[in-house]
Amino acid sequence: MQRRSYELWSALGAMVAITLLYLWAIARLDAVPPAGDLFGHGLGIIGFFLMLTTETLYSLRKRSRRARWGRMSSWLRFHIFTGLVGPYLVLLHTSFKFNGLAGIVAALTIVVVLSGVVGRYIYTAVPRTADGVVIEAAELEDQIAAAEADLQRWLAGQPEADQRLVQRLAALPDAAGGGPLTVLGRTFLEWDNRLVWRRERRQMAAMDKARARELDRLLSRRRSLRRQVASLAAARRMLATWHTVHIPIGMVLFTAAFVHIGAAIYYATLLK
Amino acid sequence: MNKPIGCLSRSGLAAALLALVVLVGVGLVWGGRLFSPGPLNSEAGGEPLGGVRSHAETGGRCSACHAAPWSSETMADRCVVCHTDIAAQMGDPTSLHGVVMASGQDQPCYACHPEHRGEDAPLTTLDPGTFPHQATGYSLEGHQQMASGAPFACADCHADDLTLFDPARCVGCHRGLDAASMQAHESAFGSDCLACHDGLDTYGASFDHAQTAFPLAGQHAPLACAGCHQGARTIADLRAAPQDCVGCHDDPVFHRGLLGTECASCHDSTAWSPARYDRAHTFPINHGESGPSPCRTCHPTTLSDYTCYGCHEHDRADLERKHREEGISDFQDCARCHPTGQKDEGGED
Repeated sequence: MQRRSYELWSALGAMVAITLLYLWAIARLDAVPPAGDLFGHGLGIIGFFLMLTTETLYSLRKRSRRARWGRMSSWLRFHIFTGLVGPYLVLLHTSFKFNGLAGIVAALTIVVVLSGVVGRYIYTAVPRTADGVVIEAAELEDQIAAAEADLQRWLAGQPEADQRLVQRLAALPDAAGGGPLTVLGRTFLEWDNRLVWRRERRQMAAMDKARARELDRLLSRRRSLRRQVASLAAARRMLATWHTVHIPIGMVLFTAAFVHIGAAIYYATLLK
Repeated sequence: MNKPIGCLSRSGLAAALLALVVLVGVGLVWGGRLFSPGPLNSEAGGEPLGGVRSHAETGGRCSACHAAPWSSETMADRCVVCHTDIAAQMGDPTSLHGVVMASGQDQPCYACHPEHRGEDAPLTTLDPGTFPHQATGYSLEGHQQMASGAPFACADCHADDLTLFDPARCVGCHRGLDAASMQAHESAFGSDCLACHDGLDTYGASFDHAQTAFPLAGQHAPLACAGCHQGARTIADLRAAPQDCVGCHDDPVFHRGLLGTECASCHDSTAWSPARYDRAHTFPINHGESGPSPCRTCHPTTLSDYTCYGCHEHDRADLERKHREEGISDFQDCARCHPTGQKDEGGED
């Protein structure tokens, strides 16, 4: 499971750099760079190339039996990076004019990116190994049991106050039924749990930092596993549904984009 | 591979095919509007050209203006099919389009006449950076920025019609920059700025006369341009200004035409006087003990006349008396009997 969103920060950094370059071009031209000039075309070509890699490379790696280069988690990060930076370049390429097919392509790009963001959120609700293999429910149950044992072992050596705290926190809902709402609303559930934990933590001023950190880690791990096992079936159903929507929209986007590129070459690039 | 990648799945391919069918259908019904990067200009002209009064009326008929890449036609060929007046101008080197064509710059029509920018967007946008303005006979080299630092716009020099120019625009701006100089300049050369100036600023404020064959030194430096370039109206006129002294200076009466026109052998531009004289002289200039004397000591009026009274203690009455005592009555031409001017020197006749 992805613990940190390096790819999101990398994409944000790249988009900030691209924005600075774009602002420089605006200052130099004293206007928004038109889609048809060297700079505008460059943005469109690089952006579309990144979108193509987004669409193909991760998918190829996922399905390839022979070419197992790199970990799936790394490919997914690359997929997300190009899936954000590429469309951003395409958006700048439009010079914020959304006419005809070019406008449709830009709109579809935004839709596919938003769909991708939702897909990634659902995807991360399904527990996986670092190589992207889905962890099944039985294995999850084993992990919960192990986490529970870890917690109890740790608690045995701790003051009674800690044990009472764990009991109070254990009573909080952490899976909310395990349906689609749990998958989509898990971030809010986690925020709620974090708030309660902080409130309890403040009342237990005597607890030292190291103990608090360890208890938090164990409780978070158990909570996460419980939520995952509760919502595993729903998350997998939602992911399958998302695929059936996302892929056709993506294919419509790429079809329209290729027609747009052909028309641009015919009417503009080869213009004499 | 155990199964095709997502985009090649059945639903993916079906969606792509459907999108293609829809796009082809829309293209057939709606023409090329689907590919238009923006609305065409809808400003209606007078008489219809090519069956339409505005570009917008061509609708989705892209081929009205866009030739297929594989055809031998260019977009300009399509333009002049309707705009026959412009086609005629292109062959006339006195017209704006003729000037541009004659400049040899292979610019397409859309370089100055962009389209698809909106129904009300102007159809002519001359970019001073790309328009071959020098082809009109006036370069914008020296007019990149105004005194304020802002870049020049077409309207700064051209009022309503880009093909017309009123030199009063030059005078208006340049009076603001330096009223006194401009007034003197106008008085000397008139107000037909383009008669002399080609925009390269060759003869403007940054002009360095020292780079010419006639550097301005001494008394020439503070002179007004018109002092030497009298009546000049063209650059050729300016270059034709005389470079020898007699072109501007008359041979002084004092010289009596005896010294020729090689003025620089005796004078420099700092001042006429003092002059140096190192050529042959009929009478030893340094015949006394006080060194060479200024010319006018011996030649108070002209070089053809001389007198010895201006230097020596020659009292005219005393000399006359002494010469008459010696029986010499013709003694006014001193050098005839005293050719070296030495004491006790005297002719026998």
